[in-house]
Amino acid sequence: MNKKKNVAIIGTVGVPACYGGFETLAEQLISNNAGSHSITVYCSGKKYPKAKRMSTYKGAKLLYLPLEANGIQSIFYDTLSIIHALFFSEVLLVLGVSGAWFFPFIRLLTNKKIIVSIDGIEWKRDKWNRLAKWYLWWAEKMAVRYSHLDISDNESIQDYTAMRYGTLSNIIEYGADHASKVKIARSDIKTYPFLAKPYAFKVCRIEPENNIHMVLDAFAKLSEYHLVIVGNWKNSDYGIELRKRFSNYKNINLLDPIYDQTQLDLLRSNCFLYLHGHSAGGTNPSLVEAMYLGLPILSFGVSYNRTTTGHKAFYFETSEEIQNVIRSTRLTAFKEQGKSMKTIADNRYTWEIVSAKYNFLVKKALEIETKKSIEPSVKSLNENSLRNIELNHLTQQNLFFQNSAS
Amino acid sequence: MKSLLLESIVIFASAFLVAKISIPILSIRSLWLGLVDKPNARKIHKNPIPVIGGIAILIGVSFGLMLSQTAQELIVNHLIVLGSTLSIFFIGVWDDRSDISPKIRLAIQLSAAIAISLSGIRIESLYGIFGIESLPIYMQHIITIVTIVGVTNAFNFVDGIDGLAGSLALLNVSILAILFVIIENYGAAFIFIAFIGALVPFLKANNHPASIFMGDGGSMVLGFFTALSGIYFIQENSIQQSIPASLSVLLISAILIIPVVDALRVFIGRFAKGNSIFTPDKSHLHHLILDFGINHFLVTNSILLIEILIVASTLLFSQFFSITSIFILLFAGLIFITKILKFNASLTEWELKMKTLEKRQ
Repeated sequence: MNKKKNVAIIGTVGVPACYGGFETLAEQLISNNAGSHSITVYCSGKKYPKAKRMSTYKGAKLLYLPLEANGIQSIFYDTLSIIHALFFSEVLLVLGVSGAWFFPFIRLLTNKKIIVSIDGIEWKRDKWNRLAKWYLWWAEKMAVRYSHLDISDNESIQDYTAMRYGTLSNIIEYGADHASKVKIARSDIKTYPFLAKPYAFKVCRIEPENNIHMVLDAFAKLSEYHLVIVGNWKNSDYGIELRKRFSNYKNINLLDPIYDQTQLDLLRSNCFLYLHGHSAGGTNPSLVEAMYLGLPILSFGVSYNRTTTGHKAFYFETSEEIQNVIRSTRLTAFKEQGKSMKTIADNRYTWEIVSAKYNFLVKKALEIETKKSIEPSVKSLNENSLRNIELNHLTQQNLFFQNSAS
Repeated sequence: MKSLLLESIVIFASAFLVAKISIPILSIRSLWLGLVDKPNARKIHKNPIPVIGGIAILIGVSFGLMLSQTAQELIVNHLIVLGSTLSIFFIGVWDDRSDISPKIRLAIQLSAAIAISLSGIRIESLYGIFGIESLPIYMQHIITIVTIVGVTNAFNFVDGIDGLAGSLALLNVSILAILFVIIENYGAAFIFIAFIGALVPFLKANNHPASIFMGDGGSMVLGFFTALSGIYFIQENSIQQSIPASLSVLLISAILIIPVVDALRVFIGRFAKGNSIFTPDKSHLHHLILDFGINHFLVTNSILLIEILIVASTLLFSQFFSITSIFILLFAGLIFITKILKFNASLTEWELKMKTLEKRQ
């Protein structure tokens, strides 16, 4: 009788999820586990104090490491998790590339399968110094080259991996149906007076790459419109400075982080426009959640966001463009757009779909030997022979990422 | 001793002054001379710049040497050196004026190198490095000619950003001046002191932002003359061995190695991509260092620092290790550094690519 295969989820802070996209993903995967395999999740002991630790959660086994899951410790965190998992799991689902340096050894010495998610092209982000960029750049190459299957969370990233590595990534996006619409109660208006009138909303980490300064600058000039931004202002000079600069505007509210999911949903589901300033990172979970809530979206026009929103949202690249869109669009047009966002989200961004894709990948990983190249097999045929039978036009093909208009 | 010091100062000062005066005079006349460099897409500067640096340097050196009997005696005994150096100079200036086919340039360089080799200035032996002693005569000719032509061109490639070729040249001529003083060949030492004198005002005008360039005339002459002087030094030193002969080979290699290895790497790279080795691209050492996002001044100084480190460490290690092993270490070290630089360059290239990709609609 076949023993059930075990899948190890490596690289997340842990479950129950209370940190970011990967963590929510891990929790959803164990919730939607069809039972075809068992799951072990490696968690960071630093974020789950001993008193609160559980040995199992929603049917998955939990193991704790005394290390941080992010920052430079992630290299050791991921590596140790991987080494341990090699003894107990058949498939390693590694989220993030910090431990990818170890993949060649796994391929060489064991027959365990590796599925890696390369996150959002980390090496490019301005938050890293040159040394970190070197490591991430190299680690990403290791991850894609030596994994059995790799996952991109966005079509634009699939284009990138095809260009750089010549292999086909699997696109699996994020689910958003854990977010829900919350109706405004009278008591809420007491806590948040701005709920009584239309307001624009943004929630994100306060970092320059999320273009918060651009949004604030636009609303400073849009005094008739109200803006609410939720984020960790105190964590950086950028945040502290912005808060100081914009604290005197009557139409702008800058709130501290809200950890209660319902409270957050309350604030965001009732805005007349959702602003999304992310310029990096593939498919942003916060954006798909906003789409699922049917919110009209004005997003920074980087390729990833356009792909996520199906090219149907409003886009901006400067503060002027934000002002133009808001001033020239009627509320009804916003509402229509919100509906189209919801349609896209219902089709692409549910955890049922996402989990099903992951489960399928696990099955595929167990059978795969080498990664397929994107080069069409016809390229291995001799061009002269093809020319003789008048078929050499087959060698002149544009690959999928070469077809985009631009 | 005192008179030698005095003579050095006089030579230095006159070369310095003459070069200093020549630069503005030649600059004004540069358009009439047809020696101006116009910017294009690949080059880094934006305004047309007079390419008279090489001429100014040589004029300064000549005047400086006119005052030294010792130097003149040496030159009179080596008229072929004078002749071939001047022919390299003329072909270089002509190339600056009106681009000559690379084949003609190479032919002249070969002829000049052959002349030098036939006149007696040759690499005669490896003095024990890699276990090789005296070389058979045909090998002597081949290695000498290849080295001289190689360094001449390599130095020409190094002239890519403001102040780089000039600074490297200044470092090299200073080291050579010291070396010739050590073996008490004062004629040669004076020649290099004159070069130091002429290079200083040139560098002042050539540093970023540059107001003059040295051109192919300047870089080829400097490369050519440095190469043949290095070989001459090895020969002269091998008689009395004020410095161990194998060490002298190592030292001369150390000062020439950066341009040579850079040129080899660029050629191999272009060849591997299927291009002609003459195809211009941005793969030289200074391009790779520029990819770190630092300015020209820092790039020039980094390369200078690397050369100083190489010379200093070869001197240091020669006390403990065999010359052969240091050679191997040197090549390995350079390959390693280049690999890191190329790694960074590809990262920078992709960073730029991503910026365009992300704007795609």
